[in-house]
Amino acid sequence: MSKGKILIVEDQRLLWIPIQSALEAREYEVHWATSATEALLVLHKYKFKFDVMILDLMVPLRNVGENTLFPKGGDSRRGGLILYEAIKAEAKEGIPTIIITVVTDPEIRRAANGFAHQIFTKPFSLKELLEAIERVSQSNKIYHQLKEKNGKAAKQKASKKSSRGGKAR
Amino acid sequence: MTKWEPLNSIVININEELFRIILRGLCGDNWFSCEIRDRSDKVIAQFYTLNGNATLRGLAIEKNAPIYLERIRTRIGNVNVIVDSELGHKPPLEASKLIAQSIEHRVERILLDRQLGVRDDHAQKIDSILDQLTPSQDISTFWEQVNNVVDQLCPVIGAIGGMYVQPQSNSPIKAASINYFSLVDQIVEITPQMITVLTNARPKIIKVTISDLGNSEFEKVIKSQGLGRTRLIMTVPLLLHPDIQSRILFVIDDLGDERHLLSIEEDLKLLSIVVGRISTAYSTSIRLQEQQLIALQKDRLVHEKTEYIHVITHQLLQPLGSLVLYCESLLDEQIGFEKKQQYSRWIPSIARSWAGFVYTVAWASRREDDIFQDSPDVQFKACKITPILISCAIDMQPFAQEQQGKYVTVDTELCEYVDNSAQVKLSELHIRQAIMNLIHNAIKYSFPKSTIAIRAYVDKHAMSITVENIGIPIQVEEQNIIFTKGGRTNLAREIDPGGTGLGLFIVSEVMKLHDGSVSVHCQANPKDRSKTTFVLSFPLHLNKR
Repeated sequence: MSKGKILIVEDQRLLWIPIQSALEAREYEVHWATSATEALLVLHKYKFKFDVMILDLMVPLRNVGENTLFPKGGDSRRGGLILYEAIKAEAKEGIPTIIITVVTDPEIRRAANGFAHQIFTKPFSLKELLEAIERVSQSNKIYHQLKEKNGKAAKQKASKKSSRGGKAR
Repeated sequence: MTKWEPLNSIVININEELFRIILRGLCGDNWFSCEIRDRSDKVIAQFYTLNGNATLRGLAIEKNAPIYLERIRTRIGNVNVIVDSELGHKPPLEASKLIAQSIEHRVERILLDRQLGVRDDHAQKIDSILDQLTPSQDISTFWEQVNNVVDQLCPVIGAIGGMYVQPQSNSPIKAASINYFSLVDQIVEITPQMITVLTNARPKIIKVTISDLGNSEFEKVIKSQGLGRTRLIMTVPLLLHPDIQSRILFVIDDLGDERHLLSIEEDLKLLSIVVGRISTAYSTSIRLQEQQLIALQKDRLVHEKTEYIHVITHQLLQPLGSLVLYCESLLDEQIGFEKKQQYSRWIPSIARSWAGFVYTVAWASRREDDIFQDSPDVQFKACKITPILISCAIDMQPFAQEQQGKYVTVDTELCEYVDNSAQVKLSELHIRQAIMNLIHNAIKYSFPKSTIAIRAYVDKHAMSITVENIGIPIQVEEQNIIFTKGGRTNLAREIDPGGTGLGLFIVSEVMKLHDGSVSVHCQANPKDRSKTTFVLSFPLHLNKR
């Protein structure tokens, strides 16, 4: 069983190859996409079930030969933000996201701060990125476990209530 | 010789009163008479007008002393004034002339003053119309205003003259003026000679009549235009703007009527005010427009600078980020040996492509016209192109393979044939960079798993290197901009948002350095998979370095 499922959304494959290698060596299941369109297709395929998404803010909306899933003429320089908005529209809770970027535009950075667990500015340390992935993945797991547990507890409470209610009636 | 004697104690005092009297005569009384008295209240002259003929008789007449009498005739306005006088110490002719001139001069001034009084309303009206003119940074809006103002002014100015702009000007003033001047029989195009004559004649210009001009050419033109004496058209150069070369055009109706002539000087003043106000508002508008342009240019420059720095930062940090990760991967105990071996081979390629980018930025930051002129790296020597092309392909291979399994091939057979057939002197460093840029683009914009083919050809005129890919098409209208600094196609911006738009500009500059050229050919096919070929062409006869 893998330690977690990771999606890397980065158009510079030379950059994510070492990240992929390091993650696979640590028994993570790694998927990748080089455009926002490709990322959305992967997310659909796996029903948005990823523990961590590593997202480049300046990812193109589509690659050569791809039919974009986004409105044409969109600002590719905000590709990462546009992708995240699309994710939020489909999966309410979103996906725990770590941003890797060179974008210094304060407006884009502020927008990214709103949803990212951590932002890494290139060049960054592989070790630190791996630690962050580990941390976010763990907390995501704990969150889901707690959520599941709470869900079960709520269900039990509800069924007890309904059974008591039934008796009263 | 006639002996002239003084008229004892009698002095004719030509004072304001006299002129008021004359003016009254000019007012059109059929018959009017009055007395002129000296300081001791003695009648010294009688004055009357009859049917427009005014006669001034001095006291001497009454005293019947005709010996000193000299009749002076002058014409003031449309009234004949005859001064018969017996004058002081000077010979009558000379004195009479002086008096006549003085009278004439004063009457002119008084007439002018009178007309000015009449014109006051006129001037105010013109002034209030001109007040509508507001300088605007939008010149077309300004001309609309001028058009509107001229429309309103024409009926007002119509009484006094008009404005006309040179035929070559497209100014709306011209249209309006031509409209107005449709009332004039014909408009005479004034020759430079005429202008000289007219200009030299100023300020006496209002006195000029056709026959007095003494300029046969002018007269000929006027006559040939059939204007005769009834209408004289004059222009006075007046600078609205160097491009417009406006002139005030003047129409003098009925030269025979001197009263009209007297008003013309004032008309000129009014017209100068009109054109002056328009001219000032126009200059202010131009200044505002320039200021706005400067502000816009400044904004654009600031924006471009920010964008440029942003893109460069992005492009510099990307390979640096990769290098850091690969180096760290080599130390990662959990990554296998084979991968580490592969990474250690890639690290120099990434570093070289990074260095290439740094060169690109450094070159592009120089002025376009001398981008390589003072570069110490420019060294021409006879090179074989096969090894250059192969090493470029090898350096770009990792990048190609990792970009959705693309592959760079070099047709070595063709390249070696070229090397055996022709020897070209190249600046190797620069040519390498140009080819790397072309391969880099071909990889970025080609379809997954496609091949980027590098070939070379030679004929008796030129040696060519081609880089070909199957990918997104470059529209014909975009083929010119891709070789300019920062020029990118819309599709390229979408697919590679971090691109600099410098790669092909550098290629173009490198080819200029080699007296060669770069061109692009796009062959579209039905599935929107276009074959794009970039051709670097080195003319052999020019390659004599």
